[in-house]
Amino acid sequence: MSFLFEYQAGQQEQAAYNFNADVNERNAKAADQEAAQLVFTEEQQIVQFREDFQDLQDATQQAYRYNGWIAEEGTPLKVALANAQEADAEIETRRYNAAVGAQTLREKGVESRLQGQLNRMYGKAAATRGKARAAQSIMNTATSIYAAS
Amino acid sequence: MKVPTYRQQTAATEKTGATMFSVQANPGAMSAGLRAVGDLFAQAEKTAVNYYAEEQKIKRQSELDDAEFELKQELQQLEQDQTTRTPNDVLYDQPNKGTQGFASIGQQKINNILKGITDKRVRQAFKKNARDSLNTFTINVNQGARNRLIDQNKANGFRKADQFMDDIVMGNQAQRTIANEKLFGDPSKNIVGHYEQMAADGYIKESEAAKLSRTAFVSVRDRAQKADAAILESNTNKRVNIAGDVRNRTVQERTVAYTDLVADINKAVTNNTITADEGEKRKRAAADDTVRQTFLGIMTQAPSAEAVVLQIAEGDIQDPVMQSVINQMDVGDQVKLIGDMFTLGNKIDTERREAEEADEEKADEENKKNFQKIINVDTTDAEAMTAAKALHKELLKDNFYTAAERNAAEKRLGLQKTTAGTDIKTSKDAVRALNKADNDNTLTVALVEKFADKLSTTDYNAYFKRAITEGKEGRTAAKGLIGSRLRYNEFKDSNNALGDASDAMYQQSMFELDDWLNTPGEGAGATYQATVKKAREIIASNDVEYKQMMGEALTSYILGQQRTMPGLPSDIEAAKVFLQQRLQSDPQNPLTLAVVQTIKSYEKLLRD
Repeated sequence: MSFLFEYQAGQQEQAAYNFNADVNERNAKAADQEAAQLVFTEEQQIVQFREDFQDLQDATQQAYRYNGWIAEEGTPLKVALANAQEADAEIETRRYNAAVGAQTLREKGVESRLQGQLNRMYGKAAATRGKARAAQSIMNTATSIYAAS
Repeated sequence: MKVPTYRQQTAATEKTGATMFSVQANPGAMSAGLRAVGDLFAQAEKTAVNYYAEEQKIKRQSELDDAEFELKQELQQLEQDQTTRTPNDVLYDQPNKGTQGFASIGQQKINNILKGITDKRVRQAFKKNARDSLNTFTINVNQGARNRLIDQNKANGFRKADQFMDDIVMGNQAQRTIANEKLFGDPSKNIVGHYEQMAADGYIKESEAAKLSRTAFVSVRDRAQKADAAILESNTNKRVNIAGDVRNRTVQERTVAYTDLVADINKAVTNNTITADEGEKRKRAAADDTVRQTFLGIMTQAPSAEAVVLQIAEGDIQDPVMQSVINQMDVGDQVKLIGDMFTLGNKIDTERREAEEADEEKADEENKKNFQKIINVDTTDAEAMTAAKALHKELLKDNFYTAAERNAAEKRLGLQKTTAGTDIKTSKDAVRALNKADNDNTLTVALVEKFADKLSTTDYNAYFKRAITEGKEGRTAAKGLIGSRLRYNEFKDSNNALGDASDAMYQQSMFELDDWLNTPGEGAGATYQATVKKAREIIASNDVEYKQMMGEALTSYILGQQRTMPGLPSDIEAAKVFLQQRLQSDPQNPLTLAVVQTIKSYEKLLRD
């Protein structure tokens, strides 16, 4: 009868590995979602930054105008363009950083998936080992019976 | 108013987004399944190999066991066979004789079995074990053979000793001398005795040799004495035969024989072959035997044996040898002798008389048959008539006929003169009277004769035959009646006293009946009824005597049974109780059952 326990042990070990694999898969998905959330949040902030930067440009033109300067030509224009360039660089940097952060999170997900795959492979091997040990147990019992008979 | 400007706030990260994976496959866990499968196959392979090895081991062991068993059986059989071979054949190979010893035959058996074994290891193991087995068997068998060899020599020694003893007792003088010297030795010639030599050869002990030698000496002496006594006995008997032979020997020869007989006995006493007492006994016995034999000779020569005894009893002894010997006998022996001789004489006379009567009866029977032949003769056959007439003459000569029978015979043979053509016609009265008599079993020859004048020749002959037949039937019925009353058939086959008594009474009764039947004026020509009636009278008249005879016979029978059945009381009632007790312990004892049956038969006889 001991072969049944060997078989069941293999099955349970496989179930444990499969559970761990499911957890890994879930973590991978969570990492993917986190990566997406990071990019989304960064885009939200970039929109907010654009509004804040427009306010800044408006304030700059107002200052030039207050000082008697024509805001749409000459130096004020150049300053406005320089500010705009800086703001664009800011946005691109922010996007780049968000992409890198998302990439990092996705990498974590990949690792989790890989771990999950490994766990499923371990599970399969455990099941196979359980079956083999069960067969071995049967064979031992049969040999003992033969020997005894 | 100051003009605000904008400068990039965020610096680009230095990170690439790539991370170092910590995931690593565990080779042990990954290969656990395959390793387990590998273990499984390894286990299977090991099991298969073990199984194969075990099977081989069992197969070899089985083959070895079979071979060893076969060898054991062969050797046991061989061992048994050795008991019938001579010890030397068992112990040694003898090429000249073409025989092999046990060890060689056993080795052959081993070789034969080895031929059938193909497995090397089995052969090797068998060879070793077989050698051990053969050695063990050989030791036992050889030991047995050596013991037998010794026994054989010892037995031969004893056989030789017996032969020497026989020669000493029964050989001639030369044989006796040689055998005596060999058996007991002769110190003066430095010859060792036979038993001493056996002791020297180690077959028996010295003390045993001395004992055997002494025993042999005593045995030889006793046997010699017995042999001499036997010779004396034989010579005595021969001389008694001569001394008592009154018919063929002269008085001289008989006297010498008796004198020598006495002298021999005296000599045997002197030589210690027999004791003085034994000598006296022998002389008395020889005298008694001589006189009895002489008596017998004289009695058988004399017409009446009883008369001879009476004559001698009165002292009138004509034979000188008997006269001499009888005077040497003591009075008691003489009285006994005369008593015995009287019984014997009576028996001789009775037997003689019975023999004569039997002869007469036989002659009478023969005459009756001849008479029947005459009555039944075919009158048309001339040859038969001639023969019948010759028989008629014989019957006349023997005075056989009664008047009626003679008349009938002569009538049948045509010897009576009759008038030709005047044969009588049978009358109805005669037929009626004769038929009635026939029916009543009272038909007789005399009655037929009474009506002879009223019967035709044919009817006369027919009634005559019927009368004769009825007379015979009457005798047969009477005989059966007597036999039945005496329970003759029950007792006659026994060989005890009751059988003798029954037989004696039956013969006596039949004698009385036949005597009556043959006496003219009494039973001659008697009817069936009259014959049966006479039988009843005979039975009644003998009844008391018969019961007394049987009572005495039963007592004698019981006394005789006491030898084989100690404790059997002579009283019948006590004997019955005794027998009943014996039957309770042993219901199937044939001896007891026979005695019980005899007593029952006797008691039935008394009740009848």
